[in-house]
Amino acid sequence: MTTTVPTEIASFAASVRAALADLPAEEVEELTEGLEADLAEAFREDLARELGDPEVYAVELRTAAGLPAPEPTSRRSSVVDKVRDLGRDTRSLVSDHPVLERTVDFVVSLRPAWWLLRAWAAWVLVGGVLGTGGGLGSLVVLVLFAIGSVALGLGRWPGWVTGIIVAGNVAAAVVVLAMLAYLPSSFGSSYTDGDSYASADLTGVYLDGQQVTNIFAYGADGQPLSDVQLFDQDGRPLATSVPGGNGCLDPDCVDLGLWAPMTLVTGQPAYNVYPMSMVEAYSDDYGTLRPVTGATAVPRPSPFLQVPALTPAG
Amino acid sequence: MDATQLLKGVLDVAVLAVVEAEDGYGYDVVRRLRSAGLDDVGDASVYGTLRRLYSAGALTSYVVPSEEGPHRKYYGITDQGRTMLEHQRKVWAEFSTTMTDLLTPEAAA
Repeated sequence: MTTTVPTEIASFAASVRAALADLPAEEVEELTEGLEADLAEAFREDLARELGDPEVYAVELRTAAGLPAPEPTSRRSSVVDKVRDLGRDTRSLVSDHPVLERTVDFVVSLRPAWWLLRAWAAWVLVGGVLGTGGGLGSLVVLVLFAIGSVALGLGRWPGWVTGIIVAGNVAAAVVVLAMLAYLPSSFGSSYTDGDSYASADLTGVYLDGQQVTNIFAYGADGQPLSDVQLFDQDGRPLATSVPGGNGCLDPDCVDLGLWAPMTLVTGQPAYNVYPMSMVEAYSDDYGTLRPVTGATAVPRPSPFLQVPALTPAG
Repeated sequence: MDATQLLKGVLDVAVLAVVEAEDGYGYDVVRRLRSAGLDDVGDASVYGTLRRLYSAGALTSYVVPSEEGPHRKYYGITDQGRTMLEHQRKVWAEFSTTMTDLLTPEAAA
């Protein structure tokens, strides 16, 4: 499909391919590969030659190739015909534009990924309906679904089966989209590893709508506690700051500071240890705060030196 | 009865014979068939026949890219195709002898 093929030949070839569209794509490709070159040569040799009806041509082509005739179209409703015509027009548009054609080829090449994705969607759906949890049995079901889905994708099916497959695909697409909408929130709420600390950037601890930047703990005797690890009701580290979180060293914010995490015995930094200290920092050429070399973390001034003690329990 | 109907039954062997003589692409095969006297051969019939013979293992194919135009798909004969052609030559020879004998007044007399 280059510029040396006359437009009418390109569109004739596209129409022939469209008339063969009920055959598997590979079969159509094999059958019509080089068709433009043959038509162009025939056209050059015999200018009087009419290209004729592409549908008749397609029937001759498939009959000679020993391929089945297209399904009769008479029983189809007009809506189906229109959809079919639309598909035909789209296909000829695509085959006239190499970029579109390559794009379509690429998308078509992703079909196996979709087969697996829809198997997963069916598995999620069935799992949700039957209320089955995880476990080996559930995994076996997933594998069976994947095998079935790929088999469906590879096979050729009569029209009514294709209809069921299309309906199933739509359902699977809905499930996948719904799961996509659900995923970010479920990822965002799991603070289980070191990396998750970084993703807590937009979160934090708030009191009456104001961000809490540090927490001061006092014991039963009213005396300040140090190095207290705090967690919320779900076991998430109660972190007021994150790596790179900054603040002011002095009330007028002349000197900048970085919140200094503690380190767990596992080697991970812990931003939920209170009261948190701050290390003097400077803004580098890129506007990123960096700790001043040699500076040590200093405690922040506490609001109270001590608080009233508790009455002894019991 | 016209030649077009007769041709349907023997297009396979005609195409095989042409490709055996020399590898060819679709329209090249059509042209050689026509210049051999099969004027009415339809190009789509030939392309479809080439494809079917390829599927049956009688032909092999390769694509020759062209810089100034669309690429061409060449067909060549395989050993299986040669075997098939040899067999059909014999079948044709016997059949045509029979028909010639049947249709020639002297032989019938």
